[in-house]
Amino acid sequence: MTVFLAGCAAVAGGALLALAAPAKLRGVVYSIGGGAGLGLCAAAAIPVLLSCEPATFTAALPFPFGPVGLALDPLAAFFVLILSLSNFTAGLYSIGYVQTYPAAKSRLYYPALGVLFLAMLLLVAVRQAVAFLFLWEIMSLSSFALVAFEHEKEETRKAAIYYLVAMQAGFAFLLTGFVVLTHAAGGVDFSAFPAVLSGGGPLAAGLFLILFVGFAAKAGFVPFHTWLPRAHPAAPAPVSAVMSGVMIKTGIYGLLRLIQFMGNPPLWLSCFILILSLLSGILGVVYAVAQHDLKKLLAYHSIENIGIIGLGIGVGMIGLSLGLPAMAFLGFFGGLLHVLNHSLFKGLLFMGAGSVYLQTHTRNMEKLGGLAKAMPKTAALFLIGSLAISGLPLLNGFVSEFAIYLGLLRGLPGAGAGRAVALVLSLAGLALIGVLALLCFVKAFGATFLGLPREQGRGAARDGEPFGLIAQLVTAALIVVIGLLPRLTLPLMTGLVSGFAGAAGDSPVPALDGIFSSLSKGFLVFAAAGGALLGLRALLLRKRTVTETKTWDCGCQRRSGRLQYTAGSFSWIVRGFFAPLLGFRTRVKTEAGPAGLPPPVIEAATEGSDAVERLALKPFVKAVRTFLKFFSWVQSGNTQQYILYGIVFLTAIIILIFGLGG
Amino acid sequence: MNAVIDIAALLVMPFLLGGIMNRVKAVAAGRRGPPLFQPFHDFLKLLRKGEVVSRTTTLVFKLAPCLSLAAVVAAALFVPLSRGRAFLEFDGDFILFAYFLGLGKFLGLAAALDTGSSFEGMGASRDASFGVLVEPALFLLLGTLAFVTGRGSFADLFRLADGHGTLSLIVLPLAGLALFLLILVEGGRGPVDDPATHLELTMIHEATALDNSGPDLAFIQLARGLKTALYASLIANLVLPFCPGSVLPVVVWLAAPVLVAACAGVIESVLARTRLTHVPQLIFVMTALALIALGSAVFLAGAGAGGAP
Repeated sequence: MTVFLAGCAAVAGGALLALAAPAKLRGVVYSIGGGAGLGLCAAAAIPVLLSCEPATFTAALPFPFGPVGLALDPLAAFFVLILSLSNFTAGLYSIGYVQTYPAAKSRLYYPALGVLFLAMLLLVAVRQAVAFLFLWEIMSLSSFALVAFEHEKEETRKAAIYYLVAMQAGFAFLLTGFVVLTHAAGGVDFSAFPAVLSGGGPLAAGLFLILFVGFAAKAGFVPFHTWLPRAHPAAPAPVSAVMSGVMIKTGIYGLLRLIQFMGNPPLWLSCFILILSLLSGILGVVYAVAQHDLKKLLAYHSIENIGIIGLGIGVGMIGLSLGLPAMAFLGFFGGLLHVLNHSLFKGLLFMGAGSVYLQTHTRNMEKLGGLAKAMPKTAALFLIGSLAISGLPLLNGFVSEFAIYLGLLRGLPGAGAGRAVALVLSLAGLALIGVLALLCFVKAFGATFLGLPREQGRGAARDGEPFGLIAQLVTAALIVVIGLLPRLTLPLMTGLVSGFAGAAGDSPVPALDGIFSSLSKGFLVFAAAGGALLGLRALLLRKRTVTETKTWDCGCQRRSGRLQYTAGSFSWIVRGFFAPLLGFRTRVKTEAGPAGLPPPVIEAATEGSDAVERLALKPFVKAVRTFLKFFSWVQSGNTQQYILYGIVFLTAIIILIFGLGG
Repeated sequence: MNAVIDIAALLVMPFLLGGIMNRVKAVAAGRRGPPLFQPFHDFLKLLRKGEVVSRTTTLVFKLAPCLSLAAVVAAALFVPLSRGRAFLEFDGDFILFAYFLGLGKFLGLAAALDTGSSFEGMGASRDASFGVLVEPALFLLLGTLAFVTGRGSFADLFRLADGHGTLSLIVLPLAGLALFLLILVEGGRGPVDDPATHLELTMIHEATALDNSGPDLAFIQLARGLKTALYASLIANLVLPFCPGSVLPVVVWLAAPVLVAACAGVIESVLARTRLTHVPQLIFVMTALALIALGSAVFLAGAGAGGAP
C-alpha cells in the first residue's frame, strides 16, 4: 500500500514540479513523474493481482464523516495499472503536443492532468462514499479544465460547458443514490453497502438503477452518451486519449463495484445491462460510420467499446443470475480485459489522430488522404490501432471480444426459448458491431492515410517528434503482445475475475488456457503462411520487371485526389441501411445578395444528427425549460428582492430553532 | 491418409470449383467452354508474370494480397473437412475463422483504397457494405447450430444430424441454403455480382483488384477460390453424418462441392444479375433463413422433440 501511495505521490510530484519547470521541460518533468508512478503503481498492483490479497490502509485525516479507508483489492489494482500506464503515455505524448501551444497554456495543462490522474488513482482505491464522491467531482472538474484547454475557440467553450453539465447531471444521480444508500446502510464505508444491496427487493434494484445512471453518464452508455462526441474532439489529443481511454472507464469501475455489492443480481437487471450495452455498441458504431471528423469518429467508437465492455459484464451478470459460473467467468473476463484493451488501442488511435491534426490542421477526413507517404510511422501505428479496434486476430481487441463470444456460447446448452433467442441475437449483434467497426476503420485509415491528398497543401506533413512516437510505440507493443499471446493475461486476471464469477467447481481457467494456446497456434500458422507467401512473391518477382506507373483510371488523364472515393461516399451504402437513425439533413447557408436577385448560396453542408438527441433529449430539455420558466421570477436581478429572501430565510430559521425546538 | 486427402482437396478445389462453374455456364449458353482446370493454368501464368504497381500505393498494397491469402489459409485450419474434423479444433474456433476472413477483408479493402482509384473505392465500399449484412446472418446461423448441438467448436456444430432427430431435418436444409447464398455473395458470383464483366455497375469484388497484376492477382484469385471451397466443405459436412463407413463420407465430401459449384453455375446462367440496390434484400434472405432456423430450433427444443442435451 505504501508503494501505491508513493506512486500517487510520484504522479503528483511530477505535476507540481512541471509547474515550476521552464516551459520546454514541463512535459519531460511530468513524464519522469509519470514513469516513476507507473513503476511504483505496477509494483503495488501486480502482486495484488497475482495473490488476490488486498492491501489496505486507513488514513486518519481530519476528513468529514470519519476516517477514509483505502484498499487495493484486485479490481482497484487492475484499474491502477491501467491508469498509471495511461498517465505515462499521455505525459510522454504531451511533450511534443503541448509545445505547439503558447508557454502560458502548458503551465496549467500539466497540473490539471496530474490532478485528474491523482483523483482517478485514489478514486478506485478509496472505500468511503463521501471521499468517493469528492474525488469523482475533482475528476470531472479537472477534466473540464483540460477539455477547455483551447478555450479561445467558441466551439471548445460550448463543448466544455456541455461536458460539465452532463457530468453534473450524472453526479446528481450518484449523490442521490449514495445518500439513500448510506442512510439505509447506516454508514459511509463501502463495507456496509452489500448488506443493503445484496438482499434484493425494490430498494436494492432502485438504488442500483439510480447509481447506474450516474455511472453510465460517465461511461457513455446510450442514451447518456451525447457529451462524448462533443468533448473528445474539443480536447487536445492526449487529453482525448486519457478521457476516452481511461476516464470513462471509471463509470465501468463504478458499475463493477455495484455488482460486487449486489453479489447475485436478479436476471432482469442482468438482461437490462446486456440489452443497453448491445444498443450502445450498435448505435455507437453506426454513428461512427457516418462521421467525417476523425476525432468525433473515435469518440463514437468509445461508445461502441463501452457497449462491448458492458456486453461482457452483462454476460457475466447473466451467468451469475443463472448460476453458470463458467459463463460468468468468461463474460467478466472479456469485459474487464476489454477495459484494458480499449484503453490501449483508443489511446494509440487518439494519439495518431492528434499527430495528423498537428501536421495538417484539420480533422476532416474529406480533406486528408495520402498521409502514409509523408508520415509512414504514424500510419503504421494507426493501422495497428485500427486492426485492434476492429477486433481482428493477432491483436488485443480480438482476445477480449473472443472471450465475450465464448461466454455467450457457454450459456447456450440447455437454454430455454427466451435465453436461447437472447444469446444468439447477442452473438449476431456482436458480429454486427465487429463488422461495422471493420468498415469504419477501413474508411478512417484509408481516407486519412492512403490514396492521394484530397486537398492541396496538406501533404507537407512529418511524423513529428520522437517522444510522441515512443508513447505510441509502447502502446502498440502492448497491443501486439496481448494479441499474440493471450495466455499471458490469465495469471493476472484469474483472481480478479474469479472474485466476480464466484468459485466454480470446474474452473474454466484450464479450458481457457488451452483455447488461448490454440489461438496462438492459429496465429503462428498465419504468420508462417504470410511469411512464405511474401518470400515466394519476392522470389517470383526477382527476375521479372516491376513497372511503376499511375493508377489505372479508365483513360482519364487528370491525376487528381479529388477524383477518389471519399470517406462519405465509402460509407454511403451503409448509411442508407441506417438512414432513419442517422437523420441526415442538408443545411444551406445563404447570404443576402444584390437586391432583386436570388441570394447566392454560400455554404451547404450535409450532416447527421443523433437520434437520441433528436427524439429524447431535445424534447426533454425543452419541457424542463418550459417548466422552469414558471419560476423565473425568483431570479429578478432586483437587490431588494434578494435582501427580502435573506430576511425571510433568517426569520424562518429563528422560528424553527426557538419556536418549535422550545 | 485423410489428412493427405484434405490437403490435396484444398489445393485442387479452389481451381476446380471455378472451372466447373465456368463449364456449366458455357454449356448452358451452348458453348463448349474452357478446360476444367483453366483457372489453374491462369494461376500459373500469373505467377510467371511481372507486376505493374501504381506510384500512389504504399507498402499496404504490396503486403495485402499475400497476407489476405495467409488469413484464408489460417482460417482453413478450423473448417471441418473430409472426416468431419478440422486440423485445429477448440471451443469458439468458428469465431477465429470468421475473424481471420475479416482480417483478410480489411487488408484487401485497404489495398483497394491505397490505389486512390475511384473504381476501387467503389468496389471496396460495396464489398464492405454487403459484408455488414452477411456477418450477422452467419453468426445467427452458427449460434443456432451451437444452440441445437450444445457444442462450441466448428466441427461439432456441423454434426447436426447426430441424434437431434426432427430438429436436424428442419435446420439442416435451412443451414445449407443459407451457406449456399453465402458462397454466392462472398465468392462474387451471380446473381449478386457478375464475374464476367468489369463494368462499374457490377463492380464489387472484381473492382477491388483492378490494379493488381502478376503474382498478387494470382494470390487474390486463389484466396477467393479457397474461401468458396471452405464454405462448400461446410455444406458437405451438413450431410456427412448421414454417411456410414469410411469411404462413403470422403466420396460425399468430394462430390458435394462439385455439386454446389454446378448449382452456382446453373443459377448464374438462368438468373439475371440483381440490381445493386436490391442485393441487400437478397442477403436478407440469408438472415431470414437463419432466423427461421433459430425459431424452429427454439420451438422444437421447447416441445421436447429436439433432444438437445
